[in-house]
Amino acid sequence: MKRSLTLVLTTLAVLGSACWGEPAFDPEKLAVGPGGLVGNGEPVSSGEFAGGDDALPAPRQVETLPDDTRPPDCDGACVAYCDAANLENPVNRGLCRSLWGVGLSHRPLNPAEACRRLFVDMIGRVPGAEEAEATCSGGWGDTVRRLMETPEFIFINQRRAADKFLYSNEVVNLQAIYDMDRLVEKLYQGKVPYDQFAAVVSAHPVLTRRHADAGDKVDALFQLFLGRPPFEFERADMARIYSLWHSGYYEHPLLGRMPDAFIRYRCLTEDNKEVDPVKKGECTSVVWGYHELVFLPDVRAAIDQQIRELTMWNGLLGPDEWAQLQTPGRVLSQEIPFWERAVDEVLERYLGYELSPKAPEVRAELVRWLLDHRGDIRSVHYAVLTSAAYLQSAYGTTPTSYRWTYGPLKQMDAEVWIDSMALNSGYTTTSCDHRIAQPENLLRNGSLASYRVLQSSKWDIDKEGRIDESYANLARTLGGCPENIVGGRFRVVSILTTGTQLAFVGDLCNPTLDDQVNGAPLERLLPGGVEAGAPVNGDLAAEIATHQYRTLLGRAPTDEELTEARDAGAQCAQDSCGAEQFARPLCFALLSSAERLFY
Amino acid sequence: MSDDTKKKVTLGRRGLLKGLGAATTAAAFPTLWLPNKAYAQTAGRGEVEHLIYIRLSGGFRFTTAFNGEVSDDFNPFGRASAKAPGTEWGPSSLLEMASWLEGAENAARVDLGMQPVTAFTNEIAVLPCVDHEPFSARADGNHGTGLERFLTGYVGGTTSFLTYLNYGLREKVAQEGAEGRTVLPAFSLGEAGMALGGGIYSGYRPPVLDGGGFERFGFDPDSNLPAWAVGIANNLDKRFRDKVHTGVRPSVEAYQQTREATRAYGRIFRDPILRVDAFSDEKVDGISNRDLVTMFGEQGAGRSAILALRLFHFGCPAVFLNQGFYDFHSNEDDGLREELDGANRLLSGLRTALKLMAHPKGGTYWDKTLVVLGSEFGRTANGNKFNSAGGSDHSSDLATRWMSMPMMGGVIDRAGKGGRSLGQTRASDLKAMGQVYSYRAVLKTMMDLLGADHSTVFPADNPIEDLFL
Repeated sequence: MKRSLTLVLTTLAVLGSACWGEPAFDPEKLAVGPGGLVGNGEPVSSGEFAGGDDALPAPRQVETLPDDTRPPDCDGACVAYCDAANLENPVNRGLCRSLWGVGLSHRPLNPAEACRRLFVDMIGRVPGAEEAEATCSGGWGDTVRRLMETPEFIFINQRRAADKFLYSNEVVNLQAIYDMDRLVEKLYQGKVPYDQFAAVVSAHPVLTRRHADAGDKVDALFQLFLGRPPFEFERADMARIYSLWHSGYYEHPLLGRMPDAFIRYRCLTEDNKEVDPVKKGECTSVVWGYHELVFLPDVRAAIDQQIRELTMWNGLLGPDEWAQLQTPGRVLSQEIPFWERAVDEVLERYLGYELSPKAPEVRAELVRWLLDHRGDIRSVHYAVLTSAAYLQSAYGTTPTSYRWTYGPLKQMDAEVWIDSMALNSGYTTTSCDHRIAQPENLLRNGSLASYRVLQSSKWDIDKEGRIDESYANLARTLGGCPENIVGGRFRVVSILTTGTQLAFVGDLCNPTLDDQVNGAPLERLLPGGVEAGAPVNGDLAAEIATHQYRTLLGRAPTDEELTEARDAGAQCAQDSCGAEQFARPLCFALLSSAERLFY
Repeated sequence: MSDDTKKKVTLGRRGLLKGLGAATTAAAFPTLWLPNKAYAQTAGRGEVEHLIYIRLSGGFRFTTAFNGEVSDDFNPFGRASAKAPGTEWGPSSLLEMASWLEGAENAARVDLGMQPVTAFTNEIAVLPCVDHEPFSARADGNHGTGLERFLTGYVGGTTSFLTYLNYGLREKVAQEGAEGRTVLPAFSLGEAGMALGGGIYSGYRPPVLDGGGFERFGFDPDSNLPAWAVGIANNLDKRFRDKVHTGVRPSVEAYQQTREATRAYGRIFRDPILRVDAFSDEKVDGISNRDLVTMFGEQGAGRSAILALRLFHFGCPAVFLNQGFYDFHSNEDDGLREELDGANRLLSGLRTALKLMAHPKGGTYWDKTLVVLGSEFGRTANGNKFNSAGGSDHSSDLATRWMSMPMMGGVIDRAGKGGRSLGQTRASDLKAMGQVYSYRAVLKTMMDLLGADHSTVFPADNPIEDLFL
């Protein structure tokens, strides 16, 4: 009986919205949440950041290099040297006192290596040599600015946010996840300052529905924005505000039942008509100022059958109410450690190690820089990506072991590794969508709307509603496409991951020329004009190798590598080897290399 | 607390003997200190070679299956009309379902020996009251944290159960390797969350197989590449290793070393018996892939079960798999039957296959295998048979709290616990009337029975000795 009623009401709602001229369901515009209320104007800064092309100083002449078992000591002469260096980039400025000022050198900048690193970090793929040469020109500042303006830069940051906030449509309303994704887009378009971003996140259903009780929400907020758990008194105090949240279920008229966050009416008198003066302390935070948070029920309130209490769905909250609920994020952003954490995250992401504890001046400079740019987090990304610490080479040797005297070397994310292989070789793959971690969960309600959401997402779905999860399965084995129910993305080298990588490259390159394998198209593995059956000799082998080193590894081969290719061609020729018989095994040799996994 | 049944603190016979032994040793050798691993362990430690751990996904209403002799509000489907002699625990009527044995088209399964679950309830032990946190004020009915607890033991846990297990078996694996045998690690079939682990555990994460078979681990560079290509690959890696700064070289070296190690595993993964789609009639361990497919089917959890049994042939100690989807907030009244019918088939198939299969070390696989079912939490209809949508929810009450976990296998037989109920709930309100076990204790018990080192795992929880008392 009750279900029939629900069905009738749902039908009436759908018909009603159609009659009253409501916009039809648009799977591209699924976002509903507090992210839509902010960042709807111009960017908070111009996006024209200085310091992209610092002239890097030579190391100061010193009698002895610092002892690398201890932090370097920057004396008066060192400070004066750094002050006179006229460095504009905040990372370079801060780093000077641990590098050039104490007599140390950075490793030289290798343009191909640095360009490849920028591509992988900023737009999520390895470039071919030609693309790298064309893009990384006109100075590093311009290059980084150009890459920051690409949609891929936004996308990579949206995917990272999904990892950070553990998007899971099994635990959180999909509309809220889409809203959060939109908020992150605005953050990286410079339309939302970082402190406002934190405020919105602190009451966003992606956080409040994801974490079970009030204390868990406080823990999550502290970890996300301060990088530490709360002290017990902080936890207990802030939990009073978070205790208003309730995890319930929202019946979307078209997408069916979804987990979502609701507001409880706490600290009220028995009749729910006014604030109880005795109980209101339970709804008031006092550690960061006096913040009383109590809502009175109105027409939006409804009984939640699970807890048998009045609650209100978060989608009915007004802007002023959201602003009150965002108090936790706002109070944290008043703390200096909040800004320190913001810059530390960017540093660690791009450098692959923690620089701030080793060179705290870098952190201090970056915090000032971020505040000078009105909280535009893009300014920090720009500063780190154009710094000597990031751009310098990871190759060669250094006289000391200080980590910042040589460049980063990191392992690629699973999706970057797979997508780059596919793009560089013309191999066909599908994809996963960071917003919909469990696509099968969405399909389970059998609604057409769910099917349309998936169809407009990055998942591949056929007309019969089958989702192609082959890409996700591969990526998950390698640590990507996380489901985010428990844990999340990982990067590791193990027998399992290496075996999986070798098998994937085997399928892609098809070194045995197996007719049953649908590998990368041959024309992408051979230079233009070379036929599959062209007989291989030393010169043709070198030509094929040059082509593949440039397209698959993104760099020209060295003389040693060309000689090696010629010798290999000669060996191959002994078996009447054709161009394809040389190109496909060579493809495997190059793509399965460590050079392809690390950058 | 989840249970207010107080137990007197007494020094049992076993504890007394342990204490006397320690005191005697201390008196005899007052200055002798013998460093040794101290385990809180069960009498069954190391008795099991293989584990199949099955998650009834999405939160399972245990009272509709393994704790069914309770009021209608908890089990609206009613209790089973019959159960195997000697069964203490209460099977629900849903365990009687066996559509896969009905009709002539399913006669082959009957011929292979499959039976409805209610025919062998006396081979299954049930722990009616397994709780995430027995000292917590309420149940954790949250999907996210409930599953975190299920997979790792804790909210926010960063190491999964199977990772702990692989780590705990590292010495055994090393010993096998020293004797020239490559044994497979524990596998997670379709659940990446069962493969978490950082720090010292990162190298022990179980492989995760989703959907397909083992083909993707089976690439053989030795036979698939000409010598000149192997040379280029090796030289390229060597040059890269030599080129990078020594400070970042270890990760590059790790990759290159694992390339070597994959060769041994590749040989196993290319073995034809792991091609479970092949419908081979060749009997391995006394059963053919065709018979296994007949028992379990070709899809989903059934296929995973076949893979599990074949992985065991190569020394794999444990396999985790998901079965069904039980998050029935609506239409549980109709939908649960079909899902549970699948679980019944899985249980029956495992029992039959394990008893038919001869273990390489002697006896049958049944003798050496433990099968355990669990879920992230129980479910509740808040004092009704169903909620307003014909389903059930999960909140903080006892119905959500108790995970009534069944276990079966040779070790349960030998302990005389087949059909036994280790604990009890009151039928009217599900109040615990007997022992309550922490979920972490169950995990630790599984590690203990497999002979894994669990000295660093869940220090506040001990393996469940009651299984052997």
